[in-house]
Amino acid sequence: MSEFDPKTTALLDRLAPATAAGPEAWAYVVTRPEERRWCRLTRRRALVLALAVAALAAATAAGGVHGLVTRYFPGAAHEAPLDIRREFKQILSQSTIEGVREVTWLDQRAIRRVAHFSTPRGPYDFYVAPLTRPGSLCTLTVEGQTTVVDQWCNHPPAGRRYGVIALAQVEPGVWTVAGRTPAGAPIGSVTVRFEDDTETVAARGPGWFVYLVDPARLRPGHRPVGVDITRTDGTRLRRFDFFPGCIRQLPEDVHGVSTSCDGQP
Amino acid sequence: MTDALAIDPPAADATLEAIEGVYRSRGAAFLRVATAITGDAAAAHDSVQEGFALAIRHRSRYRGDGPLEAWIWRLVVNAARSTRRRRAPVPTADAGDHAGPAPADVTELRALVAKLPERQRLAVFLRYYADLDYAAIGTALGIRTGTVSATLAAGIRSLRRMAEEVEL
Repeated sequence: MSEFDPKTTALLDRLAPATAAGPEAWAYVVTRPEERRWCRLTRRRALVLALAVAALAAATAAGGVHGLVTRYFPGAAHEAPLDIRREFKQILSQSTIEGVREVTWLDQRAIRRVAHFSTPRGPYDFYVAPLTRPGSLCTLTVEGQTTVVDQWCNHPPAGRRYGVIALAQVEPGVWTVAGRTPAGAPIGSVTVRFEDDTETVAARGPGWFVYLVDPARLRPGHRPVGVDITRTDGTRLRRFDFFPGCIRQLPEDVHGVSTSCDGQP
Repeated sequence: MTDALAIDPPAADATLEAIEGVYRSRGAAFLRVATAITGDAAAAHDSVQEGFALAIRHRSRYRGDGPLEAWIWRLVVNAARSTRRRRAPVPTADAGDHAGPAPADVTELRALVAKLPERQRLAVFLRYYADLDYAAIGTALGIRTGTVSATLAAGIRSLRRMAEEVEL
């Protein structure tokens, strides 16, 4: 563009380098809730806010509700902070799978913050850690952005490139569907199917996908029943099925204990 | 004007498909402008998402009196500005999958460019990174097209002076 001389062009290119990669998948945008801003606390808004707080307090006391997923994050950005990486490395260094230390497969730089959700216990960040072992994926639930409160890994049989899709309860009432895909696969979308014949698009990054189950989808008749992985040309690449009956509310005192309902690889 | 991008003519309404079309065809430009505004690749991703999420939810408010893309630019630019105000300054990282910390001179450049008046800075970003024409820049920034020319010229002049003072 003629109005920009070479030096100015160099400065601007340095400031925000051109990148071939665009923003994340469209699915992130359509699933992202709006950030509501309360610019002025009018009398009416104050009343609504007070009623909402009272309703939430009552529901929390009854133990009958948890917060919704507030947002998903793009996969390319949001690397895990150093202390999370170190803590997870420490956790993995203490466990073995078939005689091999899990930490062997950890690439700390691949850990990504992918979602944020809230419960009556407080807000949590949700991370995925695609391991270098094909098909293996770990997830981390992090409290206060610094402490791993729950960790769950999935290792499919050797030779499988897709991770077993699983449903895991990461917090009471908060279920996830997560899985591993080959990084180079021509995947167009990953959709979660439900008992009521509806479906939704899972958040996706390089080599993984994740969906935090909407609380309304935990009721019998509406629960997840499987995952479809579709090619960029719209044809189906893989189908996985769950047994939805394993989705159930666990008692409050099993906080931090994961439950999983593996799908068929 | 110029070799700037001629964006789509006004659409009758902002359908989900039309908004998705803008996202898919112009996503990289949105990301680059947001990176320049926020100074951080992760925050830029967030701002672009936020802007488009707002466009989806408030699409009924789009009146079709200007190009859809320019209307979305306004939402994304405002989201990026809000993000920048909310965040403490952080070193930038490129958008790569394993981005490392930014070199110090980029941080210095950012601080230097931040000295420009905001309107001038944004006009330059939209012109250079997104290749928008004056009318679209005016819509995105909420200023008259006639004002864009002077704002842009002043911004470019100041940047040129800065570029001559620093070692790139």
